[in-house]
Amino acid sequence: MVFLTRILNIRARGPDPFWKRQFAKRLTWNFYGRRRNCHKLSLNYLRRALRYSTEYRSKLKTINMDNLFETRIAAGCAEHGVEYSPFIDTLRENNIVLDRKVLADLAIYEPRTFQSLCEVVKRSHAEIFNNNLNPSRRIFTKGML
Amino acid sequence: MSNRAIPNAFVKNVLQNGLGRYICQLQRVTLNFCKATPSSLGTRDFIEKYLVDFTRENPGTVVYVKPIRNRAPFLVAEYLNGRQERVSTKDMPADEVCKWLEHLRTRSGAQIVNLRKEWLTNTPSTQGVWHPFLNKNPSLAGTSFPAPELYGAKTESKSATDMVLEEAGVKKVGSVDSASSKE
Repeated sequence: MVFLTRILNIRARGPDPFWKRQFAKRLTWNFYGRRRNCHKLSLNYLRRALRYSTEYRSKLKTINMDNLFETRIAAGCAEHGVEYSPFIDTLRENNIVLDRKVLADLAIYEPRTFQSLCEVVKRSHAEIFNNNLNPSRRIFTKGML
Repeated sequence: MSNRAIPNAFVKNVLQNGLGRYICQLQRVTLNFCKATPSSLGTRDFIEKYLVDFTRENPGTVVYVKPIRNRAPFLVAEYLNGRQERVSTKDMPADEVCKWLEHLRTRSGAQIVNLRKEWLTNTPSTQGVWHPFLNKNPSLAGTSFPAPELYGAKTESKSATDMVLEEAGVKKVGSVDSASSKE
């Protein structure tokens, strides 16, 4: 063989470190200062960042999203004179199984549908109120009293 | 961190393709293979059995067949937006090459990235998007200011003071009767 230097590289050394550092740079390009530029330092902060992102996904994201939906629904209800908790509870009792994401979207994009949902809640409450006025339901006034 | 660092995009459609006429975004397919090596066996089988049918079914796609000696086989798909996709077909059987070609045929040329939202619509609202004046009294647009009767606190029901004043026959400014409220 003519090329003798190449033989010296036969021992398997693993992947080229350049690509490993390149992969880390893809994830740490927006960090501050030396964490962005120095690979050894960036690994510690990269590990922390990855841990934070998994934690956010499992717990905090749902909490944040739920709070956002709650705020939006409460704001939409308040315009029609209903409060958030009674709104949600009454819809469940009336077998309207819309989740909070959908309710928030309705409040923004289909305001009249949302208004009719508030109306359902108000009427349900009025019905309960009227039933409770006459608990025995054996007194028939026929609107004369 | 991961959301910013990893490239992402909203769902894209090429010029509302499919709304009217569907146009296949695959412009050109090049099949590179070797006529002898065993890693190209599947690609060669594909060319013998399925390629001609593929070209007949897709008259809008140009197909090139490019033999290259002693090199691993691969497909190159070129799209109307100028992008290219490469698929290595080394040691693949003919039906797997079929599946990959079908995948490439049905793609728009857009790069595959994380989708921020699974859907895309130009008309998110049928009833009209909410705005702050939607549920307000429209006569507000025609009122000329100053309007002192609107400046008091809005009362939902009669207060005790209102009842007393009503008995006395006096109309109080800012009460339910005098305010121009919607309900």
